[in-house]
Amino acid sequence: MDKQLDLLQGTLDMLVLKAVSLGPLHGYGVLLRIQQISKGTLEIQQGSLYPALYRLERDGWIASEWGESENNRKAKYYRLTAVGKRQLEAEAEKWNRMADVIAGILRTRSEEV
Amino acid sequence: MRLWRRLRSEWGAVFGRARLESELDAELRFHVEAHAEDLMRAGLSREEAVRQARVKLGGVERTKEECRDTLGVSLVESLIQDVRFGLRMLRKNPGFTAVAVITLALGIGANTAIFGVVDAVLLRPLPYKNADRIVWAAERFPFNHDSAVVLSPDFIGWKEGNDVFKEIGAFGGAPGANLTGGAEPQRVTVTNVTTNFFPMLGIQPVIGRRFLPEEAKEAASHVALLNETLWRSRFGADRHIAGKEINLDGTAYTVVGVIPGNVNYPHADIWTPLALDSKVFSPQSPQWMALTVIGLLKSGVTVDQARTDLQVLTQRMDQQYPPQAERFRANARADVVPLHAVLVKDVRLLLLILLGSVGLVLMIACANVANLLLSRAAARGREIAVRAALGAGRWRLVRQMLTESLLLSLSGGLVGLAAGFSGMRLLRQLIPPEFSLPPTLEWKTFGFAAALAILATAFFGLVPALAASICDVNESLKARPVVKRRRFSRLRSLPVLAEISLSLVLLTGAGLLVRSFVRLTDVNLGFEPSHLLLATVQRPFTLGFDSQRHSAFFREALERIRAVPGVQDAAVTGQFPLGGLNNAANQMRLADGTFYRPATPILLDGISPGYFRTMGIRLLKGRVFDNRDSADAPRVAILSESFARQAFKGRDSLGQRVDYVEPGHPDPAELTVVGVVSDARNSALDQEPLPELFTPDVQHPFFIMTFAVRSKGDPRGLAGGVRQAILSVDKDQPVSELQTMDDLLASSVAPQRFRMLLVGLFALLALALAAVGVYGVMAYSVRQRTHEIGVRIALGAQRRDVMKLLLGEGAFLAVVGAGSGIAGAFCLTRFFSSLLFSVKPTDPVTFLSVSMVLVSVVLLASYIPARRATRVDPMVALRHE
Repeated sequence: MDKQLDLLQGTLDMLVLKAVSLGPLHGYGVLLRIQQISKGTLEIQQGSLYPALYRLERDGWIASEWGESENNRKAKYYRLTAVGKRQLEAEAEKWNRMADVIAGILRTRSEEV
Repeated sequence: MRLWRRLRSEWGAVFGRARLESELDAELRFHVEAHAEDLMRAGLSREEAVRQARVKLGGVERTKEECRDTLGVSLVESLIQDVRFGLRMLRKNPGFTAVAVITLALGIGANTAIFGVVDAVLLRPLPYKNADRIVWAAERFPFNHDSAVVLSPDFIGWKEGNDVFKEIGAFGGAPGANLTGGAEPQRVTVTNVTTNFFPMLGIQPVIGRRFLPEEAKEAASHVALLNETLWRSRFGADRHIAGKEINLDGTAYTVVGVIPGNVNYPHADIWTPLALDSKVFSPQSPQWMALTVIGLLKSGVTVDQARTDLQVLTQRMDQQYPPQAERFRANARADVVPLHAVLVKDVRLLLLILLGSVGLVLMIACANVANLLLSRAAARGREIAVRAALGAGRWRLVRQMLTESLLLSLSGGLVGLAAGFSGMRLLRQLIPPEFSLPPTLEWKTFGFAAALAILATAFFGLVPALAASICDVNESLKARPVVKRRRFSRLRSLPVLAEISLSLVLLTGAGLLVRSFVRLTDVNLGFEPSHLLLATVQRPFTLGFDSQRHSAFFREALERIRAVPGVQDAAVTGQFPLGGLNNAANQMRLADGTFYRPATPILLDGISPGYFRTMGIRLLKGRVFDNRDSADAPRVAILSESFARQAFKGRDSLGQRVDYVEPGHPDPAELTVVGVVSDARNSALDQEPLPELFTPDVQHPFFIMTFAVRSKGDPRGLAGGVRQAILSVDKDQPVSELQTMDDLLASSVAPQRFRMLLVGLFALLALALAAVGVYGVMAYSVRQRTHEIGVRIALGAQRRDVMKLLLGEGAFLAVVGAGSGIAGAFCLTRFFSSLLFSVKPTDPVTFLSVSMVLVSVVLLASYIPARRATRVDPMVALRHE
């Protein structure tokens, strides 16, 4: 396994939104999905996951309902709401711009200044 | 939108609480199990898998707490939790709770009561229409800057010439009158008011009408308005009183209306119109009237503008006066002051001092409760550490502690409010009579108390809460809770030091008042006050100013009073010590043509021969009056000691001539001095005796006289007999005042006694609170150091050494606290000086003695726990740890 990266401050919400945008997930599923997408490079503090889910639900970006899990247990599934979708797009856009800017700065060599 | 969602979420969080908990539980359980299953698939045993899944998730409780916080449970739910927990803690420590609540209640109660009075007197507007524009105007004359009157001709000048007043009115004193007809004659106070007076103040009559403008003419002015109180007491609240006649000093007046009883300015039983066409309003008249002037400013006119305007008018009046008036009218100044300021002048300082005193008491109370909470925070170090270890955040802990102190201050505030309300009744006598409205518990007062309670909480809740939150979890959880001792104990001695110095300030104030009160009651009166009854009689003014009929009446009544059983001796006098000034002169001409002009007025007093014997005033030289000094005998005088000394400066005063011009008499009275008597405190207890000149009453008849009656037994028992004796001479003659000299003395020092008791009470309160505070700190310190003391004793320290060690701590507190207190008192007591009598505000005896009292109390409060410490059994103490 590659060296794991700590999550950047403020990005957990965006990742959770992205994870559930691909289909309804329960909490544990969100963890697995993020690990899977990032190919195991991102380590999410499990303790901070649930407060994040509750926060996103409170703000109306995700909604929850109880359903059956793959092994027939009752689990709480989260899905992206319309508001959440817009929020995710906005966040992704912001993130990409920011990433471009920072990448540009980091690529700069001394003769270019 | 977001707010709504948030509110809904909080609502759901509080009321769907059970569902939320079970869902949270189920969700997290599912998470652990799903994770564990994955781990089992990787080959772990079930137990190990579950354990690892749990560890990975982190503290389940903590996660839950954070989720709850996210939903806003914290705001409402945890408040309820905190309150419930706080109440439980307070119930569990009834001693602590009682002391804290009582301490706060005393502080807040005293403040509420005093503030209620301050509000009623200083803050609330007067109960008049346009109260903020009502001003009082007076003339200040060079010879008497305190004069508070306006000469009647000047009033007319102001009234006609000014353009600053919407309305200007005046009132002046008739000395009162005998109200006859009906059961018994009664002495009533009568005030002459201008007809615009009541309309100007917006006062409506209860019955009938106010005066009409045309009643300001002398011919029409035999109409009267009754005070509601008199109307009820004497006229049985007769609804048809308007139009009926009453008899004042033998003259009939028609009642036109009744004025509400709460009108106390100007106070009178009966008002009659001030006749503006009477001759006293002419500058050329031989006599003027002294008026009090009240005006309603035009809106937008300032007090200063009004003062300037009246000043110009006053100067313009100068040329209308006869030349001899110039002597005192020259440089007369007009003064205008808001009426409210005039009425509160005498009590303002006292009220502010009381407000300051109770403020200090409240600060001490807060320091004390802070101290109590601090001790408890220390004792609860472990509990707090456990909470911190279980995941309670620092802010959460602070909030918990704040909630507890808020509960304390709220209960203290409620109890204090009740205490303050009852205290306010006791304080009523602080309110000048012109303020007819009693202090009521208004929202303002309540708000004040509530603000105090909240401030107090913020003040003493924060310190222990922060102190509690700086405790080190690891340290505290060890078997021996050591809670950053050094930082803590220094923090703890601060409130105690503050308490000690604040109570020293209060004690000094109280000490000064006590000392000045003792001085005041210790004054050499110069007469014998016990067994003395004083009955003042005012003959009808209408009988004339100078009539032998007065003398005949008083002589006859005196004979009958002497015959009343129980009377040892009796005399009649124009004025009596502490009875107010009835008759005074500014100067006397001496035989060599020079004038005796003391800085103070000279009292003139006509007396019957036995007066000095009855009063117990000593004859120093010459003789007293006797039957030789009849009305047509050569006129003679007796001087008081200070008169004789100041006027004759060492020369023998006996046989000297003293002349003085009586009002209404063109020729000066030429008097020969036949005796000198010792000084008596005549004007007031706290004033040096005024020079006094006595004449035989028959040679100087006056229409107001007082019978001084020396009784064998209780002088009060003679009241009825004396009254009957007077009525038997003239059935229409009431006694205007009947009192014993003992009562008069008591009432003349009543304000001083009252303020001494009040400030003294607050100071004792402060002292007791400070003692409790010191005791708390020392007891805590001893408990913390039990181990150390045990070691010391085990190593051979004597009990004396231990005692010295601990008392040293107390002494340190006492000396530092008292030191800063003395400095504070030194700065503050100067505001007291006008309340003190023959004691300097920096009186070293007071400062020294209150400091000693305070230091002894502090030492005593630390001695009790220190003695307990010396009893420590070293074995027990060492094992205890």
